[in-house]
Amino acid sequence: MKKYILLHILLITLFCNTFQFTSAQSEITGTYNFSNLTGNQLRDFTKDASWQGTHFEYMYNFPNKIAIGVVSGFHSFYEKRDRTTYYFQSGAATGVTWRYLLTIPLISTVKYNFEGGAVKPYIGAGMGVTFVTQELDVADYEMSEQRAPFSLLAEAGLKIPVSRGASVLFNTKYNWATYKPEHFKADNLGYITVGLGMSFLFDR
Amino acid sequence: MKIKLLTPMLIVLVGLVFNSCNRHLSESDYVSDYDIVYTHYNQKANFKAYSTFAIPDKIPYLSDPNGQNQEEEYLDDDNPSLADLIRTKIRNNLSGRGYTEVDEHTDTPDLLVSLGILNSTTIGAFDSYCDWYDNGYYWGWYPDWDWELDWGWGYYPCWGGTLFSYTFGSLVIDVADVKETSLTGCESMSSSCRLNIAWSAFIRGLLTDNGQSLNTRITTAIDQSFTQSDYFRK
Repeated sequence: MKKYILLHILLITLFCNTFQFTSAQSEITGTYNFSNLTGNQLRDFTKDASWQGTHFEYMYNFPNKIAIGVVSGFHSFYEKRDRTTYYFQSGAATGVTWRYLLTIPLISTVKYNFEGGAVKPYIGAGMGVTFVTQELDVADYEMSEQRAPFSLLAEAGLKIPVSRGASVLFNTKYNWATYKPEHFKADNLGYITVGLGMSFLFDR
Repeated sequence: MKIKLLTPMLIVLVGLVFNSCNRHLSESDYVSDYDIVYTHYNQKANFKAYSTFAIPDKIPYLSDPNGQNQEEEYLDDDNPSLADLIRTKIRNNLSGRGYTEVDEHTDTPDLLVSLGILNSTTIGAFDSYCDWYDNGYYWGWYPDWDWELDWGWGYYPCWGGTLFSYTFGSLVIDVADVKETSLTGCESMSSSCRLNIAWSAFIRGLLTDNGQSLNTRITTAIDQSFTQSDYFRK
């Protein structure tokens, strides 16, 4: 996995430094995200909606409206479920459960920036990995599992320039990952995010 | 005008991002949230075939609570009212399910109830802002903001920190099928030793409560152990 991450960063760095476009610009973006799970089994595991999420992006904008870069961040889904009895073949257990699902994506992305006036739309797509931690706590017992599945991302957004180089940004993304945990049930990992944030352009 | 909006927007965004790092949000946890009731039964046991049961006079600690004495200690010596309450609650549940109590010293019951107490204390350190780190995730290098220590970057995942200690108490209830149980040779672990546990319950909770509340939690948990064992009736 470390090799994959290093290769990820190396390729982007090499690409950006090899093609020295005169008017190319680096762009840093940060968004606060609302997230909603889409897979049924994970939605049974925890609350599907979360106000705990953020994304950070580094993009390299070429003159031809194409941008490439990398996005990371995290989303935390959580539920404290009331006392419930769980039956199994030779008995039952009753207790309050705490459920956590933490995702940390690391995705290479490509974006296309449309012409625009006061509002500049864009679309994008990406692929990479998402580090996933799923955890179930009952009293002082804990069961957790970590995975780093292959991930795809699709996004669309709007930028509203507010000053030289700075823009307010709204976007929505769909993240999907081939998540197959061993101890929990999950029909892959999918979640939609709606983000509000800011982006800053820097001349090279 | 637009530029004036930048600073407050940035402040709000940074605040929202930091709020996202909080693992537990603002929900309250109660002591009773940590109570668990686990029951298990022998699928070959025929609970309708049993008629009588007996309950022992003493409830022993299965591990020495002080960690010093080798002699057996009993809950009845430390907290006789709680010991009586536990026995009464189990007695009422079994009677309510159609079984008749007999004296274990004079009669041979079909079911023999065995009770035991386990206590365990955990000591550790906690900090809400970085407890995700405990799972091996983010916040690798973090500034050490503990006033007691040197200011600077350290391999320290937490802002200050709080020491905690808590004790969990467990009540173990085993119900043995007397006809299928032979205690001969059990001390030497020989093959003639045969224990047949028809039903068992493991009730676990925090021991940090006041007496009345603790009693209520234990009796509720005993009731729950029978409620979730609907097959256990005459």
